[in-house]
Amino acid sequence: MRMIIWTLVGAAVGFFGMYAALSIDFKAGFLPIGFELNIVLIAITLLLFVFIAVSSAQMKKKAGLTLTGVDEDERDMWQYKKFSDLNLCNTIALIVSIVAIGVAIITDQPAWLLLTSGGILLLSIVFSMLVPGLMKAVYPDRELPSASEKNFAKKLLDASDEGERFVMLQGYYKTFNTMNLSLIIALMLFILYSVGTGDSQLFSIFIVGLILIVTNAQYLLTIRNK
Amino acid sequence: MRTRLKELRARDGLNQTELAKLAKVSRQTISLIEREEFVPSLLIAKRIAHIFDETIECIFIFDEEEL
Repeated sequence: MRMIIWTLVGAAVGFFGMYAALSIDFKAGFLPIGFELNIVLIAITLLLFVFIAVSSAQMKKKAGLTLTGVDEDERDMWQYKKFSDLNLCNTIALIVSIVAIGVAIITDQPAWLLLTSGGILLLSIVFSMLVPGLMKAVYPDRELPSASEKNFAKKLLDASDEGERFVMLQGYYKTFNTMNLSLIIALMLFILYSVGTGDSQLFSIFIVGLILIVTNAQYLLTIRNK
Repeated sequence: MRTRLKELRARDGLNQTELAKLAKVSRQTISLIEREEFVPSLLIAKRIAHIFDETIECIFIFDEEEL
């Protein structure tokens, strides 16, 4: 009974929400602010690069210290957290730089801005190849794969112990659920945007739909075939 | 499951990193076991028991309803 009520409430909210969205004439054009947006995105990426460079240097310096007792454990904890922060910043930098070059191309920005965005993207790729290598500096005793090796992600998973895999599994599972929900919301927003503005987002809708099908199929087939 | 890992580490003067190296696992795994957030495999439990010269049951204590 409760489920039926919630379904009806959901349907009513969806109907009136869509009705309201259709009646509003909105435009979310990035063309007039393309230049400023590009500059902001490049600035964010550069700030992330500075953080990555400074943190890498700090990690290498700390890794060289000879510590004992609680200090050794605290150093390891600090490095573990710092490495996670670095990886996150690196991923954000890569994504933001891809968005930046996308904005530059689509909003037809001057050549120098396009080149700068391209350079920033290249730097992000270089950083994303260098950051995993830091693990070797932090854990010199462990047999970890090199970032340039084929199937690096799989080899890294194989090199992890059961506690690390347990933590990774929790993270991956949360991420998978968040990703599923976010992409479904994104689909709704694309439809709403297409209807509201008249600018077709069908290509994005197909791509997001395809990603949802492929990732869910991959997950379920992995479980099914075990 | 409760664990006496922290107490035994203190007894033998080992930090988490040193115990991790002896048990051939990461410090994160030792920390997870100590915080009772993760139940180790039989192999790791055996290695830890061997390091402290204790039995597995003496280090990892299960409640009756867990068994």
